[in-house]
Amino acid sequence: MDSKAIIGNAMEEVLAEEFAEYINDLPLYTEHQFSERHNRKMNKLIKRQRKPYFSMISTAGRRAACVIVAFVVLSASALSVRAIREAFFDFITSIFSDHSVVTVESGTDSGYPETIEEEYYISALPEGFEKAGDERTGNSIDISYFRENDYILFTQYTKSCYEQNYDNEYTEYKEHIDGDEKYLVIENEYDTTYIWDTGKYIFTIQSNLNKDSILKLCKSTKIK
Amino acid sequence: MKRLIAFLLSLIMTMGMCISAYASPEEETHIDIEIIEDYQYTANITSVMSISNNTASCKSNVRGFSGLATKVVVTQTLQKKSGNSWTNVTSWSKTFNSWLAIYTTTKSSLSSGTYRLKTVAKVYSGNSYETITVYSKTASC
Repeated sequence: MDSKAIIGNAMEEVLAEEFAEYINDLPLYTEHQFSERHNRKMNKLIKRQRKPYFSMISTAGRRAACVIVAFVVLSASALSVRAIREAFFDFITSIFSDHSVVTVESGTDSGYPETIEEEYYISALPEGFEKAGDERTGNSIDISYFRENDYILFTQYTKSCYEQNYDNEYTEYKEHIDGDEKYLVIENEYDTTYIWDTGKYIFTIQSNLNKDSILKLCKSTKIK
Repeated sequence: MKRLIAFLLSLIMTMGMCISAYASPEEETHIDIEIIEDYQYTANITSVMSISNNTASCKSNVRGFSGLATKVVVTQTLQKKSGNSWTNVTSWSKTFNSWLAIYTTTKSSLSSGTYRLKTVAKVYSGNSYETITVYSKTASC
């Protein structure tokens, strides 16, 4: 036996004895105290694990994917809003499946009174027309004129109350510019309506006269 | 994981395209169904209300197609906002044997609150009719 082997054997004998003592002294059955944070995490994880959709959100990546999916689905839902909005000058036309709602652009309220302060009238009423109706509220005036089968329906609205519902199947919507005045023209088989905004009130003239005649009526409106 | 996300996104985008492609004919079908019920005889309809000195002025303007509509029955209901819902305050009704119906009413002694006018119009063409409901903008006193 050489010197290295003798030292090796001696070391083994001594260390084995000490190691055995160390092992015997180890507190193997002492319960480990987990931190409160760790316990909370574990409880959370256990609760999540019980959810039926746990496999879909078990990792951060999967959770991110779910958020993206939810975002895309919600965005798609927002695109499926029923009404389509189209702007004709200051007018907004919300188009529904069977009718359109014409309103006035909001955010341009300066100068628009809340009640009818200045009443307008048609100064160039064609011969033979007679007033058949005059209905008014604080914020609107409706006057109707008839001449046998011909009619002229004139309305004056404040901006805040203006909202008209029109058919949109048998009706065409157009724009017409005449000098400085811009008109929304709503036309069907039976008559034509011109709608315009003077900056103070919203006016409409609906008639079965030809369009040139109606335009003349529009241009002839004056303060009473 | 990146592959999963990419797959999910491509799936959603593909589905989104399908939805867009499908929406147009579906909408057209929807229109076909509704046109039978509404705005077949009605050219336009307006419900307007103003309040001054605790008195509401209510106006319903119903215009049928002049060569088609023969009679209009207008029912007005003044409604007051109560929490998140509306309660009826009073109602009026009138029949117009014409394609044109402009109906004005007033209601005095209103208690403070927010009001609106509900207009229900039955627009006839001979024996057939359609019923259209519109609301005014709100007004407060």
